Amino acid sequence: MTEPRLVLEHIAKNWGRLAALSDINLTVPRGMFLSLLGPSGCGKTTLLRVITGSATADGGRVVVDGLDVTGLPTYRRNMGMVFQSFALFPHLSVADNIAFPLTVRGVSRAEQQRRVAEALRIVHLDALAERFPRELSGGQQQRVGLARAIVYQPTILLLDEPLSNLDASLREEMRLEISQITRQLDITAVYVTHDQHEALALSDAIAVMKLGRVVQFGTPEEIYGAPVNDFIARFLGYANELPVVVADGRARIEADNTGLETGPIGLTGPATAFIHASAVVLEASASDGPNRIACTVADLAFMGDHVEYVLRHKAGLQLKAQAPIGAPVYPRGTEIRAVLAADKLIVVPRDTTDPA
Amino acid sequence: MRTLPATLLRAFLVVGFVLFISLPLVMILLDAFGADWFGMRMLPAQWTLRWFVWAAQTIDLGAVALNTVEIALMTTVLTLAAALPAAWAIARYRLPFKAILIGAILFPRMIPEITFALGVARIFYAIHLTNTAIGIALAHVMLAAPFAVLVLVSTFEGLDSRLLEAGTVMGCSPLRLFWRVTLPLALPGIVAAALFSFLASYNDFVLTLMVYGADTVTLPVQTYLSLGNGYLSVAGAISTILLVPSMLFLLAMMRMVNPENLLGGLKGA
Repeated sequence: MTEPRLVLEHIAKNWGRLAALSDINLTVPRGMFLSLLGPSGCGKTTLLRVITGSATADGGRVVVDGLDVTGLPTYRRNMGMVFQSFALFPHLSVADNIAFPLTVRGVSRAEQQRRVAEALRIVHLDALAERFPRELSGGQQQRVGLARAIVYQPTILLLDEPLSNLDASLREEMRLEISQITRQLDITAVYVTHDQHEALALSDAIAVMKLGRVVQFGTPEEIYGAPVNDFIARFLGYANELPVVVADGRARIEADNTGLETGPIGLTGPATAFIHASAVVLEASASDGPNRIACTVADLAFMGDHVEYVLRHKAGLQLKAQAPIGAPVYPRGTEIRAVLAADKLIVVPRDTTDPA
Repeated sequence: MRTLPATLLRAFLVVGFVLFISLPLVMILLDAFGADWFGMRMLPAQWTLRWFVWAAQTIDLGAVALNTVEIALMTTVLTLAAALPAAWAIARYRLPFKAILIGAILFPRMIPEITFALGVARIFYAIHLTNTAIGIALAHVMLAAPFAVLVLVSTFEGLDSRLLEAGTVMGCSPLRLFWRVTLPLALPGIVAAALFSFLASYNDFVLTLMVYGADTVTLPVQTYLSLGNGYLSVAGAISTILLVPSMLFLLAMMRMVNPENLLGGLKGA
């Protein structure tokens, strides 16, 4: 049994009377890619800075490879970090930026050159070694940032929203790059993001955070398949939410008391049912039955590989549906049935922690 | 489309403005290098170096120039020693009464220099600092510090704290961070502050006049003394010598520091 690379125990951090972080407990085994996912202000970046030591926790311990580093200054923790703003040194060339952490560590000049060349090769920037950061595009700058953060083989690689300052077209390319590089080099990484797609695509595990707490921890599949409350479901991008009341293991739509067939529900009282737009099937037949909701087509849009519908329910609820290309097209105003797949309908408790 | 008259008007205004600023300079040069220039002549009848020779023969120009440079260098070092930490504190920390603090630092430049000089002279007579290089340098620090602090505050405020954090995460101890990251990033501003300080001292006349002595005559004071003795052309010659470093610095500054940054720095402070 090898020591976990990083253990966070009861981390707490207060800003005045406000709890920025409270009782954070996480264990990150070697080679794991962990994402801290949450809206802005949830404390994810603060937690990252507690790991590097740039911020000091008011309580709890940071343990790296079995060693308590809570009191260790940042510069002795051997962490690597990729910044949202790239944070490249403007007075140094690309090669010198990447060599910087090596010179700080007293690595010989020959070894520096070898490692810088290798890092440049890994991020595909061999040709730009002598350029200065201001001469590079955003995507290239972030590649330099990544090369600089891995060139000295840090114990843990921390990434603070590294894709947020990039154009949408570059983001996916860079995401794949990060995924490949961290896996190839078997890097333990902690990745901060507010983008659920990035977190789901990159991570071995995700910690969803809200108001300074970890609300749910699990693999992307676990979290996506079974969000623990409506906050997380909404955050993961479930398109449809129906306020329901659960009694005797059966959910009824709050607005009109329609019963819903769902998977097993482990709660009672007010809750929220979620379903993806792609799991809502449209049928023209007016026949009634379980999970067949009578709606009117309010709007539709051709999206290339599917058609997106906005449906109005008689009780004022709104539903979204995605129909594949080739399925019958229903113009605006058509009365139809929206059929909710029972096995895709999840019912979760309502989140009670609201910002005070 | 710009019309031709408008373009001509602009050109005329710019050239006129440059001439307006540089005319006094031209007069000094004519005085310094010209002879037999009386009456209604547009230009001197002769060109000569005799005023420089005369200045060198009647005055210990070497000692005066050395005094001036020595005092200016001392002023630069002392100003930076005081202004660097002060500007760092103002820029990077939350200080109580920050506005009052900055006001106090700017104060010597806000009031008439002669008024300030009188106060300094009173103190210097009392503690026998007149006619000492260090005394004059100290007086000059009060003139140089306001500009130096303004430039440095805006330099330090402009430092990207994420770069400092990046350096620290990558393994820089605070001392190493200062040498490897903070200093290189702030260098243009520090150079500008040093040049301003040097010139503030080198060019100063009013304050120096109140506290100089026989051993601490500086070039501006010597210019004034020569003028008082009636030697207009000798004063012109000394003034010309006095100009050289200012011109060199101006050229160096335009090459090294982006002038717009400099102005932006002053605006931002």
